Amino acid sequence: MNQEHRILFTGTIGVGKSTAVSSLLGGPLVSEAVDGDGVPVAVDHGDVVLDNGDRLRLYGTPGQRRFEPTWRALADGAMGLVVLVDHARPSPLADLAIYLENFLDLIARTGCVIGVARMHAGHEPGLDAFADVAARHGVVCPVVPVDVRDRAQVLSLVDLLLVQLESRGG
Amino acid sequence: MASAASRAVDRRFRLVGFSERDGLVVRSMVRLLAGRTRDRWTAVDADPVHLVIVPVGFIGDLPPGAAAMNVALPLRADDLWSQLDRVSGQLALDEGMLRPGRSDTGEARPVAAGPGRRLQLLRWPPDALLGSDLRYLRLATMLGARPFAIDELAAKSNIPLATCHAFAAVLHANGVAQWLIDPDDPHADEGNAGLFSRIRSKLGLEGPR
Repeated sequence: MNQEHRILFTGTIGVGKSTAVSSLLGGPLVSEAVDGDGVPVAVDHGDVVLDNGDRLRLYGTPGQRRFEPTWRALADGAMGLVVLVDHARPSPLADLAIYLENFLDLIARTGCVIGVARMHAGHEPGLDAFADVAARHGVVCPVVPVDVRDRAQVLSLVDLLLVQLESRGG
Repeated sequence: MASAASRAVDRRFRLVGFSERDGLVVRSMVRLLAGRTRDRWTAVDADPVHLVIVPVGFIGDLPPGAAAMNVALPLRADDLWSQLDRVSGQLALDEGMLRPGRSDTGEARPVAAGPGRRLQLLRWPPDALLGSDLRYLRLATMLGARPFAIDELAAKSNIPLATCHAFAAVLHANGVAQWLIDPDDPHADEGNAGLFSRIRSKLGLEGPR
């Protein structure tokens, strides 16, 4: 029986979760109603069918508290997480802290990559400040700038996630 | 850690392949960025230089030993700033590899690689240490996932042992990694290797390296 494997892309509204997945897969996403706690929430995803018939499903998932049942349902059994932070928002470091706290269990169990979007050289906070926030949450993971419209850059996030998972063995 | 200003280093660059007018624009833009870039950049006309800046699409010989940077015209200050700082980070890393026992305060730190010892990353390294070099991003990612002996790190990453040793020394010297002596055997099980390999293959990713 074929299996489904999930990688979650999370982050604030408008950061480009669906755009990132769409860039990676080169096509439109499918909207799916995920029922976490009796209240279905529409979540976008794209699929990759692997050569053994298994399916890798990439979700652009909300991570706010009000959607907690939904992202908890998706995080259950997921193989890794990409946190996208919008550098142009007023408090991107606080945004990152919220997502790390919400997904700490998944991160501890699997792996995580932090992609900082809409980042311009010289604008504070720099990447090191995001790494500081991660360190304060006990998370040691890649922190890299990303343009979610650029497939190569999104692919690089997934590559680093896989490097982590391969190093941990799973 | 020292502030960016106190770490600034004097660097020399020269332009190759630009028209006189475009060259003036690039030089002026670099001057305008003075005090904002990580290092202090001065345009010169002769080698030796730390950096050669060429226009995108330039075909020709570059002086050996200098970093090269492509810039697109019309020039964007943000892009130029970002690229200069990435070069600075790369130069700092390369120079750090030549003196791996020193922290950025000049204080000697013991480098304790040896049999039975594994390096553990304590936090994600400063951007200036990694630059945009995928080799260092990969090594740091692996070390963040679990402690590695350096020979195992080299074997799994397919990155030369000497580079791994030097990178480990730089991480240690900068206080972002520590050596563990006889930790529990952290070898990853290979249970999901097939899955990761299939995902890589489908997405067109190399590896595992």
